[in-house]
Amino acid sequence: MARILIADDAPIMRELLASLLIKGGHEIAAEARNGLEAVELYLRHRPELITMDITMPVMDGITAIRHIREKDPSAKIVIFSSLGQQNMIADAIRAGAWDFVAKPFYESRVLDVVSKALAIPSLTGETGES
Amino acid sequence: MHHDTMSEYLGLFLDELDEQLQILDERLLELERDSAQPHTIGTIFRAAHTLKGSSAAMGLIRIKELTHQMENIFDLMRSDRLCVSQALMNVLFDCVDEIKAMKGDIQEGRGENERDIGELLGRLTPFSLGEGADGRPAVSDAKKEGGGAAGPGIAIDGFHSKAILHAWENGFRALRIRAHFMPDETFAYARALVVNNLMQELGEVIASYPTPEELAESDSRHAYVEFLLLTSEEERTIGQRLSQVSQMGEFNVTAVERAELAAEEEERKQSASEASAPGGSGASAEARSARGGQTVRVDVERLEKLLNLVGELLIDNTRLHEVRKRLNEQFGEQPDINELGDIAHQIDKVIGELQDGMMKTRMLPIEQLFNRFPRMMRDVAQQVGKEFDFVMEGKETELDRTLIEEIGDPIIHILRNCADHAIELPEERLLLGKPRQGKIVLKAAHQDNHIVITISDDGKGIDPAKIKAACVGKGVITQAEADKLSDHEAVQLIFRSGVSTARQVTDLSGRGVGMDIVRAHIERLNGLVDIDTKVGRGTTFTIKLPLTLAIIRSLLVGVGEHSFALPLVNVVEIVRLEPEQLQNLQGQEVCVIRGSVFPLVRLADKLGLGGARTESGTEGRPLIVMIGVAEKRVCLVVDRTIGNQEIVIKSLGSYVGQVPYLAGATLLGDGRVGLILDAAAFCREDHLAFRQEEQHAAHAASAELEEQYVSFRMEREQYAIRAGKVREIITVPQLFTIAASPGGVMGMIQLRGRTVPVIDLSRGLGLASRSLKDSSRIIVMELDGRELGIWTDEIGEILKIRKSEAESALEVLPSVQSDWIEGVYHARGQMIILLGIDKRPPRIDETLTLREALLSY
Repeated sequence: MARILIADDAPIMRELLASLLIKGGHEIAAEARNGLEAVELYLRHRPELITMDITMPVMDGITAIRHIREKDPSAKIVIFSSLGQQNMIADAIRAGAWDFVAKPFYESRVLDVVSKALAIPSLTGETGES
Repeated sequence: MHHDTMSEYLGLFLDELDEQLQILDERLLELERDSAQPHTIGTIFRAAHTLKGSSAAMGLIRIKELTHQMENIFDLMRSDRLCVSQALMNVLFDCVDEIKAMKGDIQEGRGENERDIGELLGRLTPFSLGEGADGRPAVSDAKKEGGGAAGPGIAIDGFHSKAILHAWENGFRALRIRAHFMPDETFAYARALVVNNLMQELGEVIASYPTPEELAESDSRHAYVEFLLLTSEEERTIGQRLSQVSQMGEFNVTAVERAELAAEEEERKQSASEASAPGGSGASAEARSARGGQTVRVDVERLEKLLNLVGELLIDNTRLHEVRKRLNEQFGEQPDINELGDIAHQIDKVIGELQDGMMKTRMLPIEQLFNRFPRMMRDVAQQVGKEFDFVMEGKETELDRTLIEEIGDPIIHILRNCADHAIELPEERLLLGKPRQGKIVLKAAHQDNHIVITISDDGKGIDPAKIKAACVGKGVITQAEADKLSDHEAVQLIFRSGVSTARQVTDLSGRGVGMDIVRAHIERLNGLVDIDTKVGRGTTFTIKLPLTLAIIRSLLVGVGEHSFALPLVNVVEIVRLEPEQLQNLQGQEVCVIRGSVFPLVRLADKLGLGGARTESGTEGRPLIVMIGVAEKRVCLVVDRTIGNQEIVIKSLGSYVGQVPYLAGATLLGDGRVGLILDAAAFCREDHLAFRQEEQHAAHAASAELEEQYVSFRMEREQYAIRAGKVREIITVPQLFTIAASPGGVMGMIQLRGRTVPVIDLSRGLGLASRSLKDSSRIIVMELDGRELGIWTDEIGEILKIRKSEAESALEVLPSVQSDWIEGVYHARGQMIILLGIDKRPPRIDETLTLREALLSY
């Protein structure tokens, strides 16, 4: 259905998400292990959606969102946070993430948020902090 | 605790508490009747929420805890996760009562701490946990403790209104968008931000409630977030986009109505944007409350003081007039003196308006009081197992705030009696062929300078026979007295103290608990209470009250050098007595007026004004003012009447204390103190009342045999009409003729503020039109509740005519085809024609060839 980039530093989480998304009929464009990789891989593959973890080494998810949205204001990003820290999720949303899923990642929720995010018209850049 | 700050705000808090409790009571009733009204639940929810907040701010932990739990319940109801049940409603009503009780404690300085709310909280918990009191789950999608409670919606303020109006003018929509979180949402803040981002994408967000930052607080328990959005998108589009946010509950998108806007903005912009703006303009209660900031709370004492000052001004200005008059008398017409007069008149006008304005500020809609009743009636109905519809009309009727406070108890008393005793049990009603549900109607309306409150039921009515029997049984009256009483008089007995407190009467008649207190209370307010009942059909109580207690219209009378004021509402009539009308009965002076006997009270003696003797020349013909309270009448002998005046009542002050027969004092135009007579005190005097009733009864007994007539002369002929409907006989005042008046109506007269038509019977009697002579008098009758004046050339006498003594018109005058000529009576060789005007007022165009008939006779 759609090509998706997964960004998470935990291999087990990437594995889990990938299997869930494939089950939902999606294609995994690439898997990033940190924020910096996510930015690079996004620019290279231009996937339709990014699932972004927040706490990652090298570059955290929020910073990565800012970079990606700067380069492509129409990028669709959904937060997958395994840490229950609301303020960080909020910061990520302010930075331009469209929606979020918090732990536990139930299959139905993951697919729900992904399909909803894919259904929205191309984002324009009006959101976020610019 | 900061005690000083506390007390400063406590008053404000209590006011608010009052208002919110009122809303809770009202809306809970609504909810009980019609459970699925989102608007109702929303209002209740906000009330509970507001109370929670303000009680927490006041450090009133118990009220806070209770309202908090109530708020949770309402939140569940609002999201359809809890249904209304009788058990739940009862708990909620009990909670409201408990808060009221705590309010009472606080007002009495005891604080809220004496009460244990544990039991109530215990009863609430099962509901908030999703179980009904019966153990069945009442919650469909159970939300446990910690489920989000939310705040009220966005109150549209002036700023918002301005923005919305501007948007409307430019073709944008103003939408109120409410998005509910999922019940288990733990990231409401983040979720709200997602929605917020979406909203900003779709248009301009001018307000959100709660703000995302409020949601960020860890203890936030909001169940939804609401936005005000100005957008070019349609509601449908907004809905579609909202559905793309994951993990959200239901949402609603509604257009902002014009009525929701803050008042001032609306008024300012109304004309400008009338055409372009969508939305209706019906001012809802919601909108009124949203306005806010438009009213000022003022301490009542300040208003009282201002009103007092207006009163003083009134008095000073009257003095100014008097000074001008004296100057005029001394120096004649002088430009300066005339100018003084002009100024005084101008001040009159200003004071008049000032007084009007002051009175209006003291006026409140009676709604304040009435709103307490539906809840009370619901409880009473439940207690006694009655079913009835309780209808209130005229809630908007305004009256003086002090009166509102005072009139509550009597009305409650009567209402309770209606529900408790008058309305039959449902099964009983069905048997009687009445609808199962009874009806109790409480109505308020203005009538001239009075407010009239009626309470009617369609219950069993009051049976005069039972009242009489009970009264005789209690020894309140003798059997002989009872036999003489008319039904109407018998029913009035429930206002007698000996009667109303008697338990047996209550059981027998179904009425009367403390009715004497009700009447005493109303009379103290210068009011009247009347009762009208039909056995099996129902009862109507009518309470008539002055609009205000502070200023009354009064009749000033003089006794010796003293001036007294009598509340005009109590003045029945003023009569100059003839010597033969004065009589002595069992050592009590009485006077006979139109055949009825009234106790006579010489004010000078009663008030101990020994020195002031009646003015000479009128010794044998005293001037009396008949005063009345309810059914009782007493004639006061005065030296002179001075005139009508609006007076400001001032209490006599504690150093004087309670003085018998005096209700207060006022300042008169000449700066002297005038004392206000307490009409009720005179009428209450037991020995007077007793005699009067006895006489009344004796009179009623003789009435079986003979009827009283007032005779009068027209040209040379004598006529007579029954005295029963005659209210008074007056000399001819200024007659206002009306252009194109129907034939026979001579004109109108002003009688104590009322306009009364005066009829000339001449044409009907085949006489030439009347003209004013010294002996001319007008007989004022009351027919079908309206007053009518009959012009006469001269008043004759009171005749007692036995039925057998009069010859019927049919026998005597077979050719006379008028049903208002009843018969002919011969007295001292004179023929008197009896007119049945009271039975049927004459048609003016009735051409009556009476003279011819008489001639032929």
